[in-house]
Amino acid sequence: MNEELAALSIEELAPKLRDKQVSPVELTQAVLANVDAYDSDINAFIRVQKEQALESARQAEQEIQSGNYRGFLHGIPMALKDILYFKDEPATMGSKIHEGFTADFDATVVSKLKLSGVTFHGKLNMHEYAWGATTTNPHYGACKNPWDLSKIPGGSSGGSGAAVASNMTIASLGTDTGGSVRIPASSCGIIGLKATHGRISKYGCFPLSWTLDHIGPMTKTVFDAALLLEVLGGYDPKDPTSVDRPTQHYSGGLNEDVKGLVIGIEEDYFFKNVDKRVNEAVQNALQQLEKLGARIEPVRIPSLAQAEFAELVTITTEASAVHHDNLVKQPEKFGEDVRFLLEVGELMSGVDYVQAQQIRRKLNLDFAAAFEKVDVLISPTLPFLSPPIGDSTVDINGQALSFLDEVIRFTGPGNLTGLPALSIPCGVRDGLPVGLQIMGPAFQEEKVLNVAYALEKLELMKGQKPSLKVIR
Amino acid sequence: MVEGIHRILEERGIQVPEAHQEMLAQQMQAVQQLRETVDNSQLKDFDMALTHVPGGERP
Repeated sequence: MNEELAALSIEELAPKLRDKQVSPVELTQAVLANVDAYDSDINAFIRVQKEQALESARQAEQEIQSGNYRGFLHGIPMALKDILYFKDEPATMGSKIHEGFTADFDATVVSKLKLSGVTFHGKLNMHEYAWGATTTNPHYGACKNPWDLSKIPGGSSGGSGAAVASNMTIASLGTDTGGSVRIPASSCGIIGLKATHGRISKYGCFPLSWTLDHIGPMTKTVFDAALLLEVLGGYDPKDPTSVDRPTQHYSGGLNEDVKGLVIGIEEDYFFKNVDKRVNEAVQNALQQLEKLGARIEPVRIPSLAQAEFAELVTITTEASAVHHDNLVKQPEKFGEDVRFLLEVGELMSGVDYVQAQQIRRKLNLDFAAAFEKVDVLISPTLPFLSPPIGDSTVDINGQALSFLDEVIRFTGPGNLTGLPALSIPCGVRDGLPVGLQIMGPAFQEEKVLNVAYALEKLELMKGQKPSLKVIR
Repeated sequence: MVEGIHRILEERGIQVPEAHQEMLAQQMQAVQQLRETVDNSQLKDFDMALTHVPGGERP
């Protein structure tokens, strides 16, 4: 029973909690039992907060029993990436340098989840300072992919992806600067949503790159992602990049009807050098959408040829500015890979940075022009299947290519433009999930969510999940 | 190139491990190749659009 409870989504659990068929304490115990069973192998958690979680669950139980049900998230156990601030609690950012750091305020997203009655049961592993996409953390140990423990879970929010996929939490949040919500979502076979830049406040999230950073939900279902966006979205004067645009009742508006929908395909960029197994899964999903009445329309976005330069320059430069003092004063405390990338950022020129921002403006205008012709753009989330832990290259159709270059090739444009983008699993190939990315026009997350909802209803995963019993 | 990179970082107060020196040179060669993908003549008309709210963003 415990296993079954922890495997449910927020959408399935909320009515049971509201109607007192399931108690928040029972649910939290079920999730914690999975942490006990699996995390010694998966290593998704930096800290498990058992007593705190059970106390919070008991409080939620009392509130619900006395008729004060707060809504869908009340009594739902969540664990978040250890980069989001909780007042008077440690936040390591996956680093040694911040090992003893305690936040003195709640991140806006944390405040909103607390108000909604979420029960927090731990802090999740991540790539050090979110500056990388493997979650092979030198200080807290490598996080492993629940589908295959020899493979990476992606990153930087790898702990979030692995914890949701292995039912060690009901839902989570990640941060996404070059794809760090969507990459682990794709690698772990779950939903990862990066909303439009400015939609979800970043206040209280340790920065990697201010102009590219986003916070986003990582969930078992599209409904749960829509629900979390409803709760987390909205203007926040504490975040200078927050945008005052109305949010919607995203979960209530979910509609699987894609008849007449125009799906854009940018073949020159998003379908070039893709593992044939990944390509086959994504093409199959596109064919299924066509059968439901959607139309595929080729589009061209020539400025994408400059996207890699713009992403590399912007992220390395801004990250090196964030960490400059520590790189000078205590460089030995960084992991080797992060230290190297911080050194790279110090070598970029001011002209490089300005040109990168000019490219971002051109990209934004080119994407806006494309979205006048199509409703959404679809691509693979990653051009490869999850590689083994420790590999610095990925094999794409027999060619060994740099992991770092390839991993953000399809997700990076969403950060450069700030456009909403979601990864949804669209099949399993050789025992590993394949993610499909849906991008939409600015502040139209509902379009992205609806296409994802239609894909989810097609059941392309055929019910396949990680074989957790093998781990146990 | 290795010496140039070492000097620039040293002037900024950054100690570079020996193992990183050649890797940094290779990475900067890759950056140089990416720089060549940038067609500056196409970018001239594009304001970098970096915006700050006069007076600050707090009410």
